[in-house]
This record gives sequence, structure tokens and C-alpha cells, in this order.
Amino acid sequence: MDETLVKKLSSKSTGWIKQGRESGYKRYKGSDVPKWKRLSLKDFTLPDYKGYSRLSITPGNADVKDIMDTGMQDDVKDIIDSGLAFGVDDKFVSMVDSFFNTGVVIRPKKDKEGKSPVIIRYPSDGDLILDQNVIIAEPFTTARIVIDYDTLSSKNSFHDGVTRVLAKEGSRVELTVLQRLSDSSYNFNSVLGILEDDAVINWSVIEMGSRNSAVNYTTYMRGQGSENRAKGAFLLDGDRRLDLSFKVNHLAPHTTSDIDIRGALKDNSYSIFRGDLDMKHGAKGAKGNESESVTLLDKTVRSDAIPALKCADDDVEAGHAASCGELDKNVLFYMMSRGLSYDDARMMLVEAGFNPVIDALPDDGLKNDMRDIIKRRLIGSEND
Amino acid sequence: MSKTVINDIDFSRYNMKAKVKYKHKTAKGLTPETVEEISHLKHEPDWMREFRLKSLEIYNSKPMPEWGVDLSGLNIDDIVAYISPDARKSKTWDDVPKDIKDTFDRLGIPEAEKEYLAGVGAQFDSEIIYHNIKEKLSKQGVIFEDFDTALQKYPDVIKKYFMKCVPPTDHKFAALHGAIWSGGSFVYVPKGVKVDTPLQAYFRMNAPGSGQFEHTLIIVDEGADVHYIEGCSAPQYAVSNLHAGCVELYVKKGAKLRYSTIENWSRNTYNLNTKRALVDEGGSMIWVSGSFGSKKTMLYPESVLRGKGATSDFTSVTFAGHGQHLDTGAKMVHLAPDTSSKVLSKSISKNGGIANFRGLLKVGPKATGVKTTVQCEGLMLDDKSRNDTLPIIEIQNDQVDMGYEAKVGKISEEKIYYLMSRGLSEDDAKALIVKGFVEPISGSLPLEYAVEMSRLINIEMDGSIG
Repeated sequence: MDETLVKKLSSKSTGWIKQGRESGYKRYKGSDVPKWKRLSLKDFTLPDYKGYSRLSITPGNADVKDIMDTGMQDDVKDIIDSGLAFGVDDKFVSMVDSFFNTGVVIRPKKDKEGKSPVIIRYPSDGDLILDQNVIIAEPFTTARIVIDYDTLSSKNSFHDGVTRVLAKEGSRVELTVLQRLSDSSYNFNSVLGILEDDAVINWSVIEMGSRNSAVNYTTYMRGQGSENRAKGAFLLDGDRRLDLSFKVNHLAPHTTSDIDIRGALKDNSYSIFRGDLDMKHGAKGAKGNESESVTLLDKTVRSDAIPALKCADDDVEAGHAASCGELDKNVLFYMMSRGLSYDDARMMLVEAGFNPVIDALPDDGLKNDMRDIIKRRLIGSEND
Repeated sequence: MSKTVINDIDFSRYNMKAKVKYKHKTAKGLTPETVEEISHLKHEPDWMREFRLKSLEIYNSKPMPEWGVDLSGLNIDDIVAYISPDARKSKTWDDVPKDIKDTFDRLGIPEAEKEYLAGVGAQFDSEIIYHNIKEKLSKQGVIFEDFDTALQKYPDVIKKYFMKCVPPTDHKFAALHGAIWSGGSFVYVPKGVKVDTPLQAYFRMNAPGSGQFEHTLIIVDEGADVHYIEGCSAPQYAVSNLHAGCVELYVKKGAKLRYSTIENWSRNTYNLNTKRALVDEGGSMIWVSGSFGSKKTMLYPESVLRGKGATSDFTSVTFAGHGQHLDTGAKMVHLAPDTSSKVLSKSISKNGGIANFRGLLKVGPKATGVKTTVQCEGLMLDDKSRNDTLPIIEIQNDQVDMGYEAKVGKISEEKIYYLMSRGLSEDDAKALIVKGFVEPISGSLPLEYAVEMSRLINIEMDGSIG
């Protein structure tokens, strides 16, 4: 991916989309692949550019456009150009801004029911997916959106995505992101949320796939009374590594945030959880809470937690908690005494932790898929 | 609802500036010549002189830390590294020069010694001026000496342990300490000896623009037990002072060490201190720490639990007022099976002060059966201040029971309401809650120090609770 490619890509487009790619490339060129201490990208090489054509859209209760077909409208431009800091690293955000090969613009409709979900699928068969997604929720609209990074084969995929969400006054966006790419893939995902007065954004994050995955959700709670909740579940086995981070900026009074992450680690897997609650001066009456709980299933796993809590106002309530440990032996023993096998008992306990996230999925097919993955991971591979 | 008024620390007691004659004073700044001069004045063995010069090289090769507090106001070249009062080390207070004795009298040290301490060391700027231990203890083989004397009397022991726990390569200010350390205490408690009253060291910085770099080395041998208390203060000056001490603690098999600190440096002091304990099998290391003074502090006492079943407790209160940035915390490193640790940190920030908790909790691959909890609480007394909690937790095996919790907020209205419903006035209720907030630490200090602490957090109460 270089300058010639950007020129080629932007020559196909006009106006702001062209400038956007070019200014994105300036940022891309000016930054190096980050040297992360925990999720090391030592053997990482940047992929070669390829087009992507497997995007499938179920529009549900929203107006959904393929970003490659639609010209960039002004409001889309404004949100991409907002200059707000977010993402796993600007190298990966700017990679998408300059080279995106797929993506959608979603505009939820006004609907009191809000029931039919928008489902965006990015299946991969060893593909390069650089998706640029923008969700703009006009005042008092509601949408349930699922973005599914799925795999069709065991070929290596490279996914680097950016999703920007603007939730205007009184709107409500529920976004579920599922990541189940093949076992040796790279996954980078940067999600930005901007909330205006009384808006609600709920994230559901399910991380099951890829060898190396770095995911960041950043929200700016600009409007009074806005709410941001995040639920997450990850189940890592083999040599998988996941760096999952959330940053919540409380900028306005009476904003509420809550992060609740459940994870389970098996084999040689390694998870890093970062939660950053930043209560800015003036966020009177704000409430923030985060918790992470990880179940450790093997001796060789590693779990890091870096929960930061920053307070610059006194009239706030902020708390965070993290815990990790083995499954409770007494509970396992009890369940086995009632006739369950060790594997079944173990699976039930892990699944119980994930249920709040899986139940929130708006699609029964997806719910079953997730339960199958958990079952396969816990029982299928090896017995110990 | 009105806010509870909590006074800043009353500094008048600490602010006397003694007019003292100085015997030696190095030039400002840091050069190999300064380092050689200090070593020469102290008649040190060659290995120590070389150690100092080597540390200076390491110091010069390391960059300033880019995290934590802002150190741009600290210019090492303006700091006088070594300044010794014209006084000989004394075993009785009567031999201490009057000006210096007056200072310690007003801090209440000689009186405290008479009443409830097993031994006292007092350091004035760069040198110890008084060091004494009760006869009963020295007969049992307890050694409590100032560090320079210890280096002359027990060169082999010092060489074996000096800066092995905190090597000069640890960070820039450990290297600085290695180059220009002066004064401090050496404590050795022989096997099985239980010292039932505390030992105390008091560090006083008197000269403006100077630095204090005392070295504390404590070895608690198998099955022994001791409580060591450290106090520090300085008068307020317009120029910056620097404190970069180093504390190395060795807790042997089954031994127990309680290390309490009440730190009240003046608000022109940069307090960049390093404290670390190596804890062997079944040993117990207890830290009690109160940070009230200084302009900027970076202090993260560390327990390395390297023996099976070793335990460590850390309890601290940090009070950051106007113009202060206190970045404190604890590090717990579990390297052996069945080790346990508990961290309880309380911080109060007011009037634009910044209080940070920064911690590390690490459980190595071999440390199975570990139990550990970390609890941080921050209390914000107004909306100009800041309170940040920044822990890092690393777990590298599955047989670990880890719990972590942090909370920041103001005094809860529900609590005030409840107490008021039981008949207290609003002010009484608030004052009671603040007292309760710091109770876990004042409760773990000897009575006299708990009183000292209440004086430091002078809670203004209109009512009669207390």
C-alpha cells in the first residue's frame, strides 16, 4: 500500500472522498507500525492491497448504502474528519481512511418498534478487509445493528476496520460486533462513538477469532444525560491474543457509562483488558463503572488488566473492579454430583458468564452460532 | 449543601529554619569530582568510590522519566548534593549542637524516644547527627547504626547487600542515589529476636536548594520481628529541594517487618524515593505509608514475594492539597507459590491537588495458589482537584484468586443523610465520614503517630465529635 495506490483509488472518486483518502495517507505515511509492549507485532508485515467484494447487507430498519457506491455526503465527511482521538493506533485508523476497500453508511429510520435489525456481514476467505463504516442516527431514531466479521475458510485474513457512530439527540444505537475470523488472522478494529443530549449507545463485543486481535472502543459523551454501555465476551484458546480496550470520556453532566466484560482463557492464550474512564471537569452528576472478570482454565494462560480511572470533578461516582480466577471447585463438584460430566459442568459455568452478551444478540441464528463456538472450544479440542 | 472544610496541613511546626554552621558543602551540580569529594570526606573504601562513579555514569546515560509527575521544574544542577552540619555523631542529645537539638526538640523526637522507642536515628541534611539504641537490644545483637558507621564497621555485610535489591540500573533516580547517597540507617535483627518497641529514623532537610539521599538497609533474620518508623520534614523555601532516598529491606524466612512512613516534606521538595523489600519463605512485610508533603512525589514501595507463603500488606493515605502532585502506589510481585498480598490505598485531593494511585500487581508463572486483593478509594473534596487510579495487573497462571476494586467520588449524600437521621449535624456527619475514611491507616500506626496523623489531616470540626 503506497502513494500510487492511493492516487489510483482516489482517482475513481471525486470531491471530499478523494481528499479524505489523500489526507488519510499523509497520516498513514507519517506513522510507524506501533511497537506494542503486550500484544507484540514483531512478526507483523503489512498486507498487499486487494479489493473486497463479499459485503452483504440486510438493511432492516435503516437506510444502508455501500460506501463504495455512494458519494460521500457532508455529514459523513464531518464525522470522518472530526479529529477526535480514538482507535487501536492511528496507523491502523489512517490505513482504513486512505485505503478502505469496503464499508457502509447506515442511517437508522424513525421506528417505534426498532425491531428488525440491520445485519452487515463481512465474510472472509483469506481476504483483506479494510472497512470504513459510518452510522449516523438522526434525533429520536433507533437501530439495532450487527457487524459480523465471519470466516468462510481457514485461510489467513487481514481485517482492519473503522466504525464511527454519531448518535444525535435522543437516538439509540445498539451495535453488536462479532469477530470470528480464522485462527491465524490479524484483526484490528477501531470504533468511535459520539453522543449528543440524551442519546444512548450500547456496544456488544464478541471476540472469538483471529490469532492477534486489537480492538478499541472510544466514546465522547458530549450531550447531557447520554448513556454508553458496553458488554463484552471473549473466549480465547490456542495461541490467541486479544487486546481489548475501552475509553469513555465523560464531557457533559449526568452522563452514565458502564463496561462489563467477561472472558475465559484456555491453552496458551493471552488477554489484555484496558478500561479508561475519564471524568472531565464539568461532568457533574456523571456515573461511570467498569468491571472485568476472567475465568482462567489452564496453567499457561496470561491475563493482564489495566483499568484506569481519572477524575477531575468531585460530583461524580466512578468505580471499577477486576477479578480473575479459576472456576469455583465447589460449584463444579456440586454440578458433577448431580450427574453432569466435568466438561459439561465447565461449559455451563463459562456459558453462564457469557449469557448476558449472547442474549443481547438480535438474531437467533447468531445466538446458536455463538453457543456452538463456545461448546466446540471448551470440549472439542482437548481434554485436560 | 455546604462543603466540609478540611484544613491544609499546619506547617508552622515544621517550618523552623535553623541557623546552622556547615562543615562541608559541595558545589552545586553533579560531576565526578563532587562524587569523589563525598567519598573522600567519608573515608570510604575503594569499592564504594567506584560504585558511586559507576552509578553516576548510569545516571547520565538514563533519560528523565516521561510518565508520572512533571519534573521539568527540577534542575539537578541547582541542587547541592552534599551538605554536612558541623556536628559529630552523638549518642546523647546533650552532645548535639543546640540549634540542631532545638529543631528535633520541637519535632518531639527526643521526648518520643524516652517514652516509646527502642532506638532513634536523626539525620540533619546529609549526615546523621544522633544515633542511639537501647542497651537491652544491642545486647541481644540488634544492630542499629547510621549507614556511614555501618560501612566502616561491617564492610562485608554492606558490600553483600548494598543496592542489590534496588540496583542503580533500576531507574534514573536510583542511579543518582547510588552516586551521591549519604547518611541513613542500617538495621540488623538477629534470628528469632523480637523487638517489641519501634525503631525510628527522622530525616530533616534544613538547607535551601539541597538534596537528601539517605540509604536505609534493614535485614530481618529468620523468625525475627521489628517495626521501623521513618519520619521526614523540611522547612519551606522558594528554591527546589530534592529527596531521592533508597530503602532496601530483606525479610528472611519467617521474619516480620513493619515499615511505617509519615512523610511531610515541605512543598518545594521533589520526593523521588525508591523502596523495595525481598521477602523469603513465610516472611511478612507490612507497609504503612502516609504521604502529606512535598511538591511532587513519585513513590511506589514494592514487595517481591520470592519465598513460598510470603505475605505483604500495604496501607496508605495520600493527601494532595494546593500545588501538590502526589503520584504514589504499590507494587506487589508474586514469584512463589501460596503467596498473598493486600493493598489498601486511600487518597484525598483538595484545592487543586492531584493524587494518583499507580500500582503493579504481577503474578508470575510459578506463583500458584496466590491470593491477592487491591482496593483503592479516592475522595474528592472539590471540583478543582484530580484523582486518578492507574493500576496494571498481570496474571500468568490459572491458580490465582485476584480481586481489584477502585472507587472515586465525593462524600456520599446517603451516608450524610443516614448519620443525620441518627441525630448528628451535617458538619459532624461529614467530619465523621472523613475520619472514618482514613481510619484504616491511622489505626495501624502506634497511638502517638496516629495522633500525629490526625494533626496532619487537621479536620476542622464545628461540632464535638472526636
